[in-house]
Amino acid sequence: MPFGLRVLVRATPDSEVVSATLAVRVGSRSETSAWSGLAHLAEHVTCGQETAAAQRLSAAGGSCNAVTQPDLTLYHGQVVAEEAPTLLDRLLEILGEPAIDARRIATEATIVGDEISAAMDSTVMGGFPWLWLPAALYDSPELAHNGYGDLESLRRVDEAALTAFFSRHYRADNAVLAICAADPAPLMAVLGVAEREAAVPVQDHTPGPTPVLTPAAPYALIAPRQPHQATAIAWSLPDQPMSWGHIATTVLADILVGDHGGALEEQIEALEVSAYVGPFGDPWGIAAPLPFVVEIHHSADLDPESWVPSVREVLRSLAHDTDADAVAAAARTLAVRFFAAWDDPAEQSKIMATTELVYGDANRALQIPGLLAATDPAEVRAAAAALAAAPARLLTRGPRS
Amino acid sequence: MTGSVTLLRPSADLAWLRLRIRVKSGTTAQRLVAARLLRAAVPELPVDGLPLHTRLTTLGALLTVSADGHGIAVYVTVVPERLAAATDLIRAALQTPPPAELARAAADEVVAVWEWMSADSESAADLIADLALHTAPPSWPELYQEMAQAMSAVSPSFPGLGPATATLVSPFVPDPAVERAIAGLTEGAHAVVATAEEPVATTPATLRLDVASEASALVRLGWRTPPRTHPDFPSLAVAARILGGHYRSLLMRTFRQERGWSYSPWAMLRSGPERGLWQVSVRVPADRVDEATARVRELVTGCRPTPAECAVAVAHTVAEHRTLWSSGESRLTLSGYWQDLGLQPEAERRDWPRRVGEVSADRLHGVMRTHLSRPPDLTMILT
Repeated sequence: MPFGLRVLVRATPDSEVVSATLAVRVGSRSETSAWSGLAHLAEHVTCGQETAAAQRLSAAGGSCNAVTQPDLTLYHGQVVAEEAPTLLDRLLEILGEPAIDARRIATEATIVGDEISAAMDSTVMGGFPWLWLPAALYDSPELAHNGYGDLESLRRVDEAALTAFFSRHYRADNAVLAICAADPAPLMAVLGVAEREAAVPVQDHTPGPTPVLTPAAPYALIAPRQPHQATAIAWSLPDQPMSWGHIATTVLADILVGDHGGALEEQIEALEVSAYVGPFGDPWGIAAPLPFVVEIHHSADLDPESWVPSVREVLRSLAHDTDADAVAAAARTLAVRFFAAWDDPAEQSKIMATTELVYGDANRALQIPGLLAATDPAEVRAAAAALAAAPARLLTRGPRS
Repeated sequence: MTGSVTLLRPSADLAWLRLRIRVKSGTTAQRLVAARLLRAAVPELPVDGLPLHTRLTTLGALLTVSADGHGIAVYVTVVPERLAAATDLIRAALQTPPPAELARAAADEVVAVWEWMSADSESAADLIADLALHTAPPSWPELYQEMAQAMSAVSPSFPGLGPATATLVSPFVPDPAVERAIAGLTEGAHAVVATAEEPVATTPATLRLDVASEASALVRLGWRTPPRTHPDFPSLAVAARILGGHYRSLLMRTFRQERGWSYSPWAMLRSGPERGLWQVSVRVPADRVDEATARVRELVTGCRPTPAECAVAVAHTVAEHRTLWSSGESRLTLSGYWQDLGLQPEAERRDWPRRVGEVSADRLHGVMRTHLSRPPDLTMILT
């Protein structure tokens, strides 16, 4: 578009609604230590604005919500197809001048406080392991960020700080708009976008840092009334997202656990075990560094550190025994999971926008099933061997003191 | 044969299959326990010496099982060309008598999950709401206790199964052999055993639970309503939208934007086959419970939407319906929910927007006065 915003459009013929995602390349990793939590607060202030466009969207039955991630902030909306222009107006104004005043900042900071409280207190697991995993895994402040930031810091945020943050990051040339609609042509006309098959310019993509972990004492949190102990063993992967090493580790995670059991569950006696790549269990939507996590829920009578050698033993065995059938089955399962998400227009627009900003090319999302199918069992065995030998860090939460 | 199969109109690149199996008999609490036992066991049922989930994994099929007060729903997501093979595996698993050790393992898992869930306010409140949808006991606290007792004494044996229903969302009409295989999933179910009607509550109940060491408290108020087929149901759905169904709703404005107490208050209407439950949920600071409870009551009883507000809520209710129909997975979930209520998916998909579109502000006031002006039937305070 003339002011530099890249627009991705995809036809979803079976959809009765239009879904759109505006992704801005700013997240919790973009903050300075002086203003911890600013990215999330900015998302709240922007999304909560009572603008004329927001009111028109609401009157049309549409919705708009947002989420702050480590590298991106996603604004997502949906509306019935015939009201699509109201949704585009609402999303595009997010890149305009925000209406900020001290009262609004104070209210949103209080709401963020409740969100933090809800995330940490309202579930038995208290946000385990997402909230503490970055701090357990990484040493640098931007990577150790829990996504929410520091409440005290948020209470000090003023209009000047927030305005400066918006000016720096909420720019059209720092964002992508992805739209899924049954008939995209009228929307492209509204936006003044010409149809250009696969003509989205690829933005320079700078790989993120991949820190090497050093041994550290377990990160322990005491939660006396939690019924069981939860323990996470985490590695920092050296691979860039969508590299063969990353794909192989993602397949390995499914072989280790899968939805209903796997090599790890067969070998260790715990209440529940899971394994995944990515800080929120999403292996595709985040820039490096990516964590690999084995999460174990177990009796508080058992020493959390005792799981580490057991998990390494299973990884060593997979480094020798993983065969082509196991790799093919896991790859098929992951591909079906991807297609199931892709089938939902809301998810599809999020995947498109995220992939465009993380990988520099939205089309790479559709390469995921093919990459999975082409996974070499030798790569999976190598990934298991590398993890078995690599340093890991331990995070545990529960009644055990 | 007691089952039925419904094929919905084509969707995208995958096939979604839902098999609904009812638990044959027992009180609501007993059926819920039995359903949870089945939910834990079904993925582990043996097929030629390996668990069902392992067999399905080799096909790249995703398996999910949910449980409620009537039984379980088995969901399978798979590429269309492997649908027949997945169906055969499920059929083989359900027709093989499960080994005793599997029942014991499932019982252990049910108890472990119950302990976990009982310490989480949202899960505990959801469970009580689920009980409320499927029965109307004389006392909610007693029913919860009955549930707890049934859970702690969960029997390591499988319940008898009632009628089954299969629903398929597929990008093409499957060939007759696949259709027969899916129909076969619903065969062999036991004859339906009537469950004795449980007594209906006559007095409001309050349930206070100390579930965990949480900084905030969860307040949930529930009103019993008629089921989805009732003429008042669309107005009640619109009322839920106005109170708490979107970002600018009354609850959001009152508790989030004005007071900053609550991140995500909501109002929602659900229906069971015989009755519905209209709920409001607000998480507030622990010292604000009484104030919040009174304020919610005031908002519900004092709500007099203007025609413009009513029109916005109608638009939101219709938009939600159309959104859910736009992906295969949610289309299957929605259709299965309707089928559980005895409704035809295609007819309901067509009729619901029309019924909601007929809701006017005057009608809304009347329906809210009729169903929501009395004290809530169920008050849950979980701290």
